[in-house]
Order: sequence, then C-alpha cells, then structure tokens
Amino acid sequence: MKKYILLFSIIFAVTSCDVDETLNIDKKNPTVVPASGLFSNAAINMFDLLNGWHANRLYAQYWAQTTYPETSQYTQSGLRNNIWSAVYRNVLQDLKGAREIITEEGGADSAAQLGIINFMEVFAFSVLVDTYGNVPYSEALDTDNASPVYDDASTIYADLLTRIDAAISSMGSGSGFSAGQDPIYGGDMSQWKKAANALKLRLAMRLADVNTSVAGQKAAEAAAGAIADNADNFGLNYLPDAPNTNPVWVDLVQSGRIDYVGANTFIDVLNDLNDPRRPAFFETRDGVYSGGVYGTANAASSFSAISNLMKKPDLKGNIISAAEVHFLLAEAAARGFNVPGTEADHYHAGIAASIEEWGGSATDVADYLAQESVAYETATGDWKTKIATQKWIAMYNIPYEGWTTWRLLDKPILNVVEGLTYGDIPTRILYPTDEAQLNGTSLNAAISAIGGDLKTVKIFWDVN
Amino acid sequence: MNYIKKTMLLCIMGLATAFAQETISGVVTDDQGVALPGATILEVGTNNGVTTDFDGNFTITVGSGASIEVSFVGYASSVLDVSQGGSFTIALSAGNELTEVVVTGLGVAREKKSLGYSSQEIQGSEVSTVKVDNVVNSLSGKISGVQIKANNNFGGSANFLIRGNSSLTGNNQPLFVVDGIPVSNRLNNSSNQRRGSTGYDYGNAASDINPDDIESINVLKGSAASAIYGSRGANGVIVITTKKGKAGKSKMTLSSNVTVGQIDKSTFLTYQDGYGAGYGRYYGSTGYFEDVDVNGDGVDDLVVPTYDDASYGAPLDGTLVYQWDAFVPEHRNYKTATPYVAAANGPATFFETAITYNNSVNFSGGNENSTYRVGYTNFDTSGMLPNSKLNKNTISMNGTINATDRLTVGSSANINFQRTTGRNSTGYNDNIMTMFRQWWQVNVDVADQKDIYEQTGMNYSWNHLASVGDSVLTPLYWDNPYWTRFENFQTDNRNRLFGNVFATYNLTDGLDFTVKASVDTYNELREERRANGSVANWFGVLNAQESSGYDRTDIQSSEYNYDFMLNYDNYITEDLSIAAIAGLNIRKNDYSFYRQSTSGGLKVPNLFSLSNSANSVPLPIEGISSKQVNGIYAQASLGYKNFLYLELTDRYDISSALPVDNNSYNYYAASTSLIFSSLLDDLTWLQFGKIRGGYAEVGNDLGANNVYDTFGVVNNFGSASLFTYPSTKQNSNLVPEKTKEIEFGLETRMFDNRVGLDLTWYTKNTENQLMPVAVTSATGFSNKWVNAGEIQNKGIEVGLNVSPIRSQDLNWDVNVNWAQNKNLVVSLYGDTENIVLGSYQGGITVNATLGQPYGTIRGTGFEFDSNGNKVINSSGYYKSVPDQVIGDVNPEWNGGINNRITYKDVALSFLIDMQKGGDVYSLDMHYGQGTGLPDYTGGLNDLGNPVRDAVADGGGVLNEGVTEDGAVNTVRARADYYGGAYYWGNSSRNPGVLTVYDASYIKLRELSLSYKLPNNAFGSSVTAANLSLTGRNLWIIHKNVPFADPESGLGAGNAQGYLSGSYPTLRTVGLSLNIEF
Repeated sequence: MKKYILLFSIIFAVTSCDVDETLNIDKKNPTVVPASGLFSNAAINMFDLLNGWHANRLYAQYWAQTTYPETSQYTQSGLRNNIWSAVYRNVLQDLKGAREIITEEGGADSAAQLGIINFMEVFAFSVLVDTYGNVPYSEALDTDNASPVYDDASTIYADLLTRIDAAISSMGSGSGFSAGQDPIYGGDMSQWKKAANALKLRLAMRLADVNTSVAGQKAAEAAAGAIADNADNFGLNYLPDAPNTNPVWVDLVQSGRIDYVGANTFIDVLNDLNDPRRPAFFETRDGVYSGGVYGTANAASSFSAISNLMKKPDLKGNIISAAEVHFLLAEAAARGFNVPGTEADHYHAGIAASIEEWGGSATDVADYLAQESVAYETATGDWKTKIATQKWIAMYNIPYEGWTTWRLLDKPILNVVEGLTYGDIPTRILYPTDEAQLNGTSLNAAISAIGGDLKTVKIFWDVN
Repeated sequence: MNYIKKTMLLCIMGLATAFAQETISGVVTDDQGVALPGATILEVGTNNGVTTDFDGNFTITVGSGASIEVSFVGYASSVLDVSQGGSFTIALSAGNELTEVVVTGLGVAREKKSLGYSSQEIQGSEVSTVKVDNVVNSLSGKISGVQIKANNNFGGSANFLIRGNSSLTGNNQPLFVVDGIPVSNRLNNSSNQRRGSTGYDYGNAASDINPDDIESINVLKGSAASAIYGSRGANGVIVITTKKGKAGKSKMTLSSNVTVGQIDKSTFLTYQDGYGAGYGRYYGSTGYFEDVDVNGDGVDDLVVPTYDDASYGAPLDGTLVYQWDAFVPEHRNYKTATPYVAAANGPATFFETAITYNNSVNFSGGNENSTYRVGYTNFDTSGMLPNSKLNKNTISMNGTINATDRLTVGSSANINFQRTTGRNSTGYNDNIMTMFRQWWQVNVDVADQKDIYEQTGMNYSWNHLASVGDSVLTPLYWDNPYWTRFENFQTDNRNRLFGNVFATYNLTDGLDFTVKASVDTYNELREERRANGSVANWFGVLNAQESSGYDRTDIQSSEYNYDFMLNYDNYITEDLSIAAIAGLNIRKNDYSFYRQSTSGGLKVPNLFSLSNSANSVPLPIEGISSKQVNGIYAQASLGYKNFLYLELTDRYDISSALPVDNNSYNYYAASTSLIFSSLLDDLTWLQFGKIRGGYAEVGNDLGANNVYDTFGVVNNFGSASLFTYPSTKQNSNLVPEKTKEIEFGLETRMFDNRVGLDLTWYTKNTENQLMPVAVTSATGFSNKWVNAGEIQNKGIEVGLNVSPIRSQDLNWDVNVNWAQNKNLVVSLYGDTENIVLGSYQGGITVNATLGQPYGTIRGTGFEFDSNGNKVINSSGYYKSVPDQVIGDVNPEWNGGINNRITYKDVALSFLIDMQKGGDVYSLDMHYGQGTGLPDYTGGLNDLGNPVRDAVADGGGVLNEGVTEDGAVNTVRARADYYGGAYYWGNSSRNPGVLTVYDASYIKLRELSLSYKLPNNAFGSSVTAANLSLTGRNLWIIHKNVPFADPESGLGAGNAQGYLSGSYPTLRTVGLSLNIEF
C-alpha cells in the first residue's frame, strides 16, 4: 500500500504544478522599442518604395525593357500589390506605432516629432490615393476591423491638407528626432518644415483643376516656406553597402541583370534639346544616345544603358526636390495663383536646379536655357506643354512625379505601345488582387464609386 | 558532449548484467507442420510478447509459473502452461478465431480483434528490402488511406497525409513514435523554398529512422486510435517498433545492399532540335545573330546571342556561327565558328548514375533475464546530380533486464550521424532543373560545359555576356551547371539521438507501473555557398541578390517526455476482461536556430566563413521556441466473452503555448467492436467477422510564441537603429482547435482464411482552426491569428487480402489497398471565401476555398461559350477569364496492389502504386514551352508545316475551340517567336490553365526477387541467408503530366500541386544479401 501512496503522491505533485507560462514569451525579439526606431524604419521604407518602384520609370517612358517587356506593356499583375502593402504595412503601421509611443511618453520634443510623423503619414496616404483612387483611410490601421471602408479620394485629400497644416504648425517647437535617428535631415527641423510645405504645395497643385480656390489658397500659403534649394531636397542619403543602398543599384547592379535600357521616348526629347543631363542619365551606345523602342523587347546590345551615376549604391534618393517645387510654382503662377515670382522665373529656376542636381555647371545651365527650344519665352507650346516637358525631364529620378506630370498636365506626348492605343496608357494602378478576397464588400463599393477597377480610370484630380 | 553523457546513461541502463527467470523456446507450425513466421507469443496477463522468425522459431522469457498464448492470423490460438520451462512445438489449427496482436497507442500491445478503430500494420521487411533514404517513401501504396508524395529531391522530404488535410494552415503531417519515443518529423525548409522561389529541401527528420532496425510499423489512422497521444495525434500516428533481442542463442545478422539508379527519361523534357538560341527575330542585322567581329578580321561575324536563355532563334541548319565557346580563350573553338546544330549531348546527359550502399551488422540475443540488440548501419548514397552525397551512420541499441521478479528495466538508444553534400536546389531561381526545363538553348552541349569546367575550374557559362561586349566570365542568368554543382554546393549535417530508459514494476497480479523518460535531440548545421563569379541570386539573411557568399544555420532541437503509467490487465469475471491504463505525460520541446550570413560577397574568393564578408555581417536571425505540455490520461478497454469490446479514452492537456487563461483542454474517444463471427458458428466459410465503430474529439494547440506581440529588429541604417511591426498580429484570445471524427469498420476473413477484407468509413471535421489568416494590409498587418474555419474529410478505406494459391511449395498472396478521401472546406474566417495557402510564380495560387476541397489551384482559365467550347480570339489565341478554379490537388483515390509469390525458397513480390486524379500546375511547361524547348514547339503543325513558319505560310498552332460568334476556329496562333501561342506574359490570351495537368499515375513502384539460400551454403555457422534482387520506380505505366513525375514537387507541406524545376524520377535496381549467424 505504501507504494500506491508514493505513486499517487508523485502524480499529484507533478500535475499540481502548472506549465511554465514564461516559455511562451519570445526571448529573442523585443516587446518594447523606442519610437524613433519605428519612425526611421517607416521613413526608409517610404524612400525605398518610391525609388525602387520601376513601373513609374517605364510608365513615364524614361526606360524601356530588354527581353521581358510585360510591365512596359502595362501588365500590372505583380506590381499592383506592391504600393498597397508597402505603404500600409511597412510605412503607416510603423508610423502609427511611433506616434502612439511618443504620445504616451510626451516630452519636450514630442510636438516636433509628431509633426514629422504627421507629415510622413500625409505623404504616405497621398501616394495611396494618387495610385489607386479611393482607399481605406478613416477605418484603416485598426487590427480589430478586418474590413475597413474605402473613403472617397477627394475627401481624403481635403483631410490631408488639414493635417499637413497641423503638422507644419507643430514643427515650430522642439528639436525632432536625434541626428543619428534621422537619416533624412539629421534632426534639422527647419528642413523638415520646408519639406512639409513642399508637400503641401504638391497636394494643392494636384487640386488645381478640381478645386481651384483651395488649390490657389493652399499653394499661396505653402509657396514661401517650401524647398527652394537642392541642399534641402527631401531625399535619403543611401549608404554604400547593402542593405542600405539605393534600390536602383539593387536592381541594376546587385542583381547582375540587364533588364532596362533608356527609352526612345525620353532620349529622343533629350537629344532634340541637346540636354546636358544625358551623360548623367545614360551611357552612349556607339557614340550616341539611343533609346530602346518603348513597349517591345529590345536587344540590350543596341541601345543606351542606364548611366553609371544612376548605378551608384549611395546615390541620393530624392522624393521631393527643389526642381519639382519650382515647376509647381511655375504652374501656380501660370494659373494665376498668388505665389511669388513669374512662371518663367520658376521654369528657369526648375531647370537650373535639376541640371545642378545632376552635377551640371552654371555654364551648362546657361547654354541650355539659351536655346530657343528651351527658354520659356521661345519654347514651343502652351504653358502646360512647356512646363510639363521640362518637369518631366527633371523628374527622371522622381519617376512617380514624372508619370503624375503626364497624368495631370497630359504632356509630354508619350509613345504608344504596338497593339495598344494612347488611351490604354494607365492613369492608375489596379487594386491589389487579394483585396477581393480579403475585403470584398468594401472594395466593390469603391470600385463602383471610382467607375471601375481599370487601369484607365482617372484619379479624382485628373479631370482634364 | 551532451550526446556522450546521454548515450552513456542509456547504455548503462540497457546493457547492464542480468538476473534469472524462465526462458522457453519453441517452434510454431500449422497443422501440416509448416512453420509459421510472424506468429505471436504473448505471456498471458502481460504485455510481454515476441513473434516467431522466418522458420517459426521463438524464444521468450517469462515470469515463473506463466502461461503463453500463441496466435497467428487465421488460426485458432493456443494457450500453454510453460511453468516447467523447456522447448515446445506448437501446431496451430486453422480456425475461426483471430488473435493478432498489434502495438497501439503508447506502445501498448492489444489483440487486434478488440480494437474499435482502423489500424494497419506492416512488417519491417516491407520497408527494408527495397532501400530508400527516407522510410516514409517506403510506405507508399502499402497502407490504405495514406497519401505519400515523394517529390524526387535528393535527401528531400516526402509529403505524408493520413485521411487528407485537416488543418487549414497548420501541420498536417502525422506523428512518428519509435518505441514510445515521439520522434520529430519537423519540416524546416525556408519560406523562400516553400513558395517556390529558391532554396534546398532539407528533408523531414523522420528520415533518420533506420529501416533496418524496424520490426513493424502500425499506422493509427483515426482520432479514436490516436487520441491518447493528445494534440499531436490529430493527423494520425505512425507507431514504429524496432527489432529487439530474444532470449536464446546470440545471433549476428549481416546485411549488404547496393543499388544503382538512373533517371526515368519519361520524367524529363524531350527537346525540339530544329531551332537555336534567342527569343525571336530581333537581333542584329540578320534578326537572329549579333554582329560582332570575333576573329579580328575587321568583318562582323554571326554571333549567337549567348545572353538569352531561350530557343526561338535561328534554324539549326549547320551554318558556321560563333557560339559561346568561341569567346573562351582556353577552348579549342576559341575565335572559331562552328556548325549551328542541336547539341549532341543534351541536358539528359547531365544526370549521373546514382549509387547507394547500405551495410548493416546487428548482434542480438539474451537469456532468461535479459535481452539485447546492438546494430550498426552505414548508408551511403550519391544522387543523380554530380557532387551529391549523403552518408548516414546509425548505431542502435536496446536491452531489457529483469532486475527482480517484479522489476524490469530497459533502455533503447538510436544515434544517427548524417552528412549531406550537394542537395539539389528547388523552385524557380538558381535551380539547374529550371535552367534545363524552362530557360535553355538547345544548341548548347552539356558535355562541352563539363569539359571547360574541368579544364579551367572557371565559370565559363553558355549564358555569358561576351557577345554584347562584357566579360566572357560574366554569365547573365545561368552559371555553368558544373560550376553550380562543384562550387556553389551546400552541405549539412545532423547528429541525432533518440532513446529512452524505462522501468516497469509489477505491483500485483495484472497491475504494472511504468516510469519512462525519453529524449529526441539533434543538432544540425546547414551551410550554403556561392563562389565568387557566380550569377547573383537570392541569398543570405538579407535575402539579397548576391553573387558570392556564405550562409550558415545552426539548429538545435530537443524533446523530452516523462511518462508515468499504470497498466492493468485482467479478467474481472470469467467473461469480462479489462485492460486499463492511467498515466501522466510531461513533454518539453525546445527548438532554437541561429542563422548568419555574409553580405556583399566574399572578400577572399572561395573562403567560406562569416568573417570573410565583404560588408559588415548583417544582424543574424535568432529564434527560440519552447513549449511544455502536461497531460493526464486514462484508457479502459473492456471485453465481454472475447467477442464484444468497448474502449474509452480520455486525456486532459495543459499547454504553455496557449493563452494562460485558457490553456487546458480535454479530449476523448470511445470505440467498440463486435466479433459477430463468434455468434455465427454455422457459417463455416466465415472464419472471422467484426464490426467496429468509434467516435473521438481531439484538440490541437498552437506552436510556441504565437500569443504575445513582439517587434522585429531591422539592420541599422548607418547609426539609426530600426524596428518594425511584424507582419502577423498575434492574438491572446485563442482557444484550441477541435477535430471530431466518427468511423465505422468491417473486418472479415473468409474461405479458409484465403480472403480478408477490411473496410473503413470515416468522417472527420476539424473546427475552430488556429490559423494566421490573411487580412488586408490596410489593417497594418498582413496576417492575424484567429480561431475560425472548418474542414471536413470523409472517406472510405479498403484493404483486401487474397491468397489465390496456398500450398506446401507455392503460395501467392495479393494485398490490395484502396482509399478515397473527399475533402471539403466547410467554413472560413468571417466573410472570407478563400484563403491563399501559397502564391506562386505564373500567377497561380493554391487555396482553401469555401465549398471546395482544400487545395484548389486558381489562376486564369479558359473562356467557354454556352455550349462548353473554348472561345478563341481573332488571332487564334484562347480567350481567358481571370481568377478561376483551374485545378484541385486532391486525388480522387489512391491505391496499391502488392503481390507476393513464393515458390519453395524463391519469393517474388511487386507493388503497383496508383493515384487517380489530382492536378498539378507546371511552371516548367509554362516557361519551357514559352521559350521553345519541348519537341512540339519545333515540329510540324496539324497541316504538316513547320509550326514555326509564319501563319501566312501555313505555320502556327491551331487552338481547338470556337470564335466569338460560335464558328469553329480556323485561325492559327503564331508560334514563330516567344510572344506567340505559348507566351507566358499575357494571361489574357494564354491562360494559366494551359499548363495544368492531371496527376494520375500507375507505377510499378517496387519489385523484389528473393532467394533463400540453402542452409549449408556458407557452412554450419550460418543459420539463414537470403539474396534479393530489388527494383524501385521501375516503370511509370501510366501518367498524364508531360515530361515530369506527377509526384515531383517543391517538398512536403500544405501547398502541393506546383512543379517548378522539378527533378526526374530515379529508377533503381539493387542487390542485397542478408546472412544470419
């Protein structure tokens, strides 16, 4: 009998101790992190996305493809998911986390830090709207709501313009993130404020055709405070070594592939204008700059390769530049908005800023502007044609704005892919394929609201 | 060092000296005096049992005053008083009572007739006669209700399903238990590997089980059988019993086996031989060739576009052109034009003869108080690819000692050392098979690639960039395949120990108490390499495009189980028997991995070390998952007059992986069986008949670390430290998932035991599934852990044994297994109608779709008119409809027919293995026909004209269907360049369904011809000798997948049905000799 007692006491002893609950806590990954680390990661992801998404370089017809021209022919099968998940998951979720931590912790710099985060959030949502049209906004980023509604694109834009004002005003006090955690401006709040004003100007000018009064008012407010000099460009200083290099280097050099050459659309224009930026953009082929036929397969051996400058791993990746601001102001002036300076001044300043950004000298600028085909006064076409053409050239390495310039101003005239028509050139990106499965009801409401999930449906600001 | 300590402990327990008890021996025959191998001898009232050897002999150690029960399938069992010891000859008469003993859950031996659920047992010889590296593959076709898919990867994993997929996103592989030790069968391939991008198939850990040590395998298919194992039994349990020593004369067995294998050419691509390199007619001045002055005479020469990896180029008409070798200074054709012809040595010549040696030696024996067995096996194999080797050394030992008349102690240990070099890459990228099957120039001679690599040791690829002015040593997409095999090879090794120690104390008559501790632990090191000068590919912890580098992963896995069990086996009254167990199980799992790689290449060429990283070494990936489960269980089996049985099981588990407030769960099973033949003594043709039924509810919990949120750590950007949210949102409100299963069965033996039929019907619903369901990224996460969804599996399993001939000299036994499983996704999460299980290149997903079977293939489908005709557009291409169900990976049924014919000392057995239905999508064909490789892309069309002629000239492909106005299509689609009838880039006219194929097959899976050598062949010391000629995968009698094995694939896991860079089937023949001293 003693044995039984012993036995059952053993069993009792063992069963009465519960399992060790701490085993289920991950011992290799943090549960608490500093807000700055989330902010920096979100910011870098934003720059990586806009610098690395080569469909824009194709849609703006800066580049052509070699053996596999599907993207040039506007197949969106893979890329339609990219911006969506990159912005919501890699950018906005981390920004949201950073904002929550900063709000909770408070402190002297919290206002400035929240200003930066607000500005980045506005930027990120504007990219979503400019890409797809209506997107989840008011109910987005809530893990308890798996089917967020898609908000009306113009309503989102109106809110973004309110939020950017709040962001700019809260950038007035405190000193932001530490220099080490701010890979864009090294903690310089005055530069952040210029970038926020530049974004405000960009968003305002998007609305020029649909809400002229708001556009004019907001552009006027933002004009003086926006980036005016290349030193203030909103860009990431990429580093020489992976994984912190410019994504262009990753795809052109690290991959070892030869998927792209310059496109005839772009190079033909550069050649016509004797553009001094050509050596910065492309290599020569047999002594000349020649572009591959946009939209077909091209033998890489026959056309201009992408330049070595573009292939530098630490090439700065700008997503708002001084040149862009000048062209926005030129457009604002041309539309009669209340901004300082004339359209010609800003047009010339935009060209100058761009040539200098790509290493050109003052002489290069002067020679270029001296050409009848370039000077604002003598160049052919209306203000839209002139500004759009030069802005398109200047936006070569901010290709999202290159494509958007064409969408907004309908210039320059792009080439038509064999078998397609001019009307087939995409004006938006299709919603991600899996949204139909994951959030179908909301998606279908959005699709009928924007007039169909088509590549040729126009974003709300694209009315002319 | 840990190993040595653990091993020593087990050895001491296992092989210590012995104490005295009764040993008896004997021979079991039928009533004609013919020996009965495999008869069971069981000490009455205990679990102590042995089986007879090939000659009917047995030896057993029993307690004093014991009786033994001798039984054999189809014979009346016999009980003998053996209290006086000695030697017995027991003749069994064919009778209507069946007493077959099988090892069930927790290693408990039970009479098979008492079981209320389906289980199927096979003998060790069935998995060890024809040697394969992974024991799982040996089960294919031999067990009904089991689907095994071999995948054809060298040393790779085999997908193993019992009664279908029941978990939406979790593990669906069964639990392996060897001598009561749960043995990890973890599949641990990278996510890149699983989604078909790139990587190696590291196999499943059950391949460490040595087939030579297996006595028997019992497959517990349903929950009623496996409930006692708790959550881990939900997918079925493979109960493996290893060979043990027997009391009596010591024995030594030697086994030596060699097999040679070559590819089955029906599973490899047949190439067109009429057209060379290029994608179409847009190169240089001629359209097909670059214009480069190669020989320096100032005149441009015709140069093959070496950088393009397709065969839609110039006709191979013998024209003198400059090919890849003309740029290689060391090559005999340097600066020399050669005739443009199809290669004499195509990719099929790349494969080598695979050779496998398997040698083992075993010692076993014992006396009345102890038994032992010690074995050593060396398995050494080379694969079909150059520089592939796998070597496995296994040491196994076990023993028992009767320490006192009441106390038995014992131990077993298996130590396994595996070394592998050169596993094949799988998936799309950096896979030689992808190059051969999808992206190739048929003018390239593989032997020339071999010669230049052997001559120079450099990466002179056929796919270099010299024809466009870059270096001849800069390949664009593909390395020289020999460079890949000899310079970029991976290696891995795994050292593993699993074993146990146990003590059983007989408390009183029929009541035993057992304490057991078991361990399964392994260390694994995986090293992957890229040598300087390779094509850049996804590599390292940054998953970046790297042209050189080194990547190492260190894995440690351990599982400890502590069991305390009471076992009671007795007759309550004369008519009522009881067998009951009650126990406690404590399980602790730890799995840790550490992965580190270089970044930016290697500084010193070909020095594969982390410190040789060109950039600073990126942050490593580290992980630990630990889990503890405490379980208590009880089982009672009641028997009434040996014809009516009832078994009840209950188990209660507490898991550390569940949310603390809800971390326990209970599950249970009940089963019953009625031996109706006992009531029907008049039916003389019916020797045995039983109906059975069972119901079970079993639970399943989470893996570790899925309840609490953590952040991800990202590599610093300069001085900025970076953190991010993970992509999956955790959930602290999860509850265990639940499987409910009902099964009914019928077992009969008829007509003098010549016909045996075993039928099972089951239905199994798994509810409240635990899964990281995909959510819109607009929530900030891409996945979220939830409890949702239900899957149903319903099926029928049939086992039929027929003995058409049974005589003294000639015997013929046929064993047929057949099973059908119908799978249905009953519900999913919220309003979700589809969950993507895997998303693959080619625009293909494998899905769980509401109202459909688990594993539908979706992609672009044909457009059909109202009459069901495919619609063709005005250019002759198919019209397509996006997002259609274009396939279903589930087979309609699986089956096997095993024949065994013995004539005197010769035995012939062969296994036909079959699958009906199930679909696969082939990326190999999607791209392969798109680049103009298969024979039909270069031959003649329906008009007898070259298919590659212009449509206007009578070329092109006629797609069968109707035009949009309903007329029969007569317009041929152009097929003169890659953008035509087989173009992969435009699914609106070439839908994904074009390369979906029916995966049915009939295979001659195994064949063996054995000869039992005369006893005096090796002198008197040899007691038995056996010579066998074996073959495996000898003949694919029927299949519908072109140029590939329907079973090939990426590896084991939930997403099946996708072929990319798939490997051909190895057809092997072997010779083996077994000698017993």
